[in-house]
Amino acid sequence: MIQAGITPEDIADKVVRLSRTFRAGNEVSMYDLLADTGYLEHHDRIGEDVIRKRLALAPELISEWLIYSEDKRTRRGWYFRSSPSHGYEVGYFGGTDDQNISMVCTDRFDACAKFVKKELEEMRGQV
Amino acid sequence: MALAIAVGAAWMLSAGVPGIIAATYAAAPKAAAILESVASEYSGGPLGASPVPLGAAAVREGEGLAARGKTVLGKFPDYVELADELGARRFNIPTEIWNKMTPTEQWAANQKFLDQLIARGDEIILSNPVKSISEATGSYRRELRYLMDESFKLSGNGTRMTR
Repeated sequence: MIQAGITPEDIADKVVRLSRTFRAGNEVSMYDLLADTGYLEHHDRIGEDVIRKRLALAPELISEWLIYSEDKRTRRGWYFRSSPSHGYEVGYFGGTDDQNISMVCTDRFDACAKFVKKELEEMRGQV
Repeated sequence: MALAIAVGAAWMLSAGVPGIIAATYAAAPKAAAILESVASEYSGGPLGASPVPLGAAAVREGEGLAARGKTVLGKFPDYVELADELGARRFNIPTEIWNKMTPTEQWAANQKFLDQLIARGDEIILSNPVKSISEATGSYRRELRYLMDESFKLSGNGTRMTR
């Protein structure tokens, strides 16, 4: 049960701004920012569809997520990048062919929502 | 699992764990404590102690600690992919640690890695060629800017940083 007066859309609004919030501040980790959104408790109600709708209201955030993805300095992880021939690519880089995943989306909102959801779920699994 | 952890920790060996942790302590005690606990787990004891077997890949990287080599910089995941292909060094941190580091902590660790590749005299290869620094974005741009401040410049075709 989400706290009275707070909707999945409210949480999604905070979630889609995480990359911007993270880059704007210097002293809070992405994980701590995510925990503050309420997503960890209500993850099952914040699907790609809700995230997509909130992103569509703030399309400028797409570029923030593209930079967030390219800024990762990890061995493995989800990524989101533009693809000159296909539009956008969301994938998982695991280092070996059998671990790698790649999905192509022509719609930037679909692609970004997919990436955000994958990224948040990976972080949720790191509790 | 143990092998995955060992491979994930390989960057620490190649970059010099004590140096990175010392630098990170200055900027961010919490992340440094996390890094140190992880590093201790991987090395089988206090930092600097003789390591227990870490897996072939980690040991090979550790053996090359001070040797001049190749380092790849660029955007994720391109730089990791190219470094794997070339057998080159790259900066990467286990995801679960990276996500719990603040931007200040992340940059402190990254900066230390850059300082060490400069000190070794590594060949610097760019996975995402740029003709000018203005074409780069995010942390990639910051890395290139840092190297330029250390007297490096982009090669003509934008695939290297040279002095």
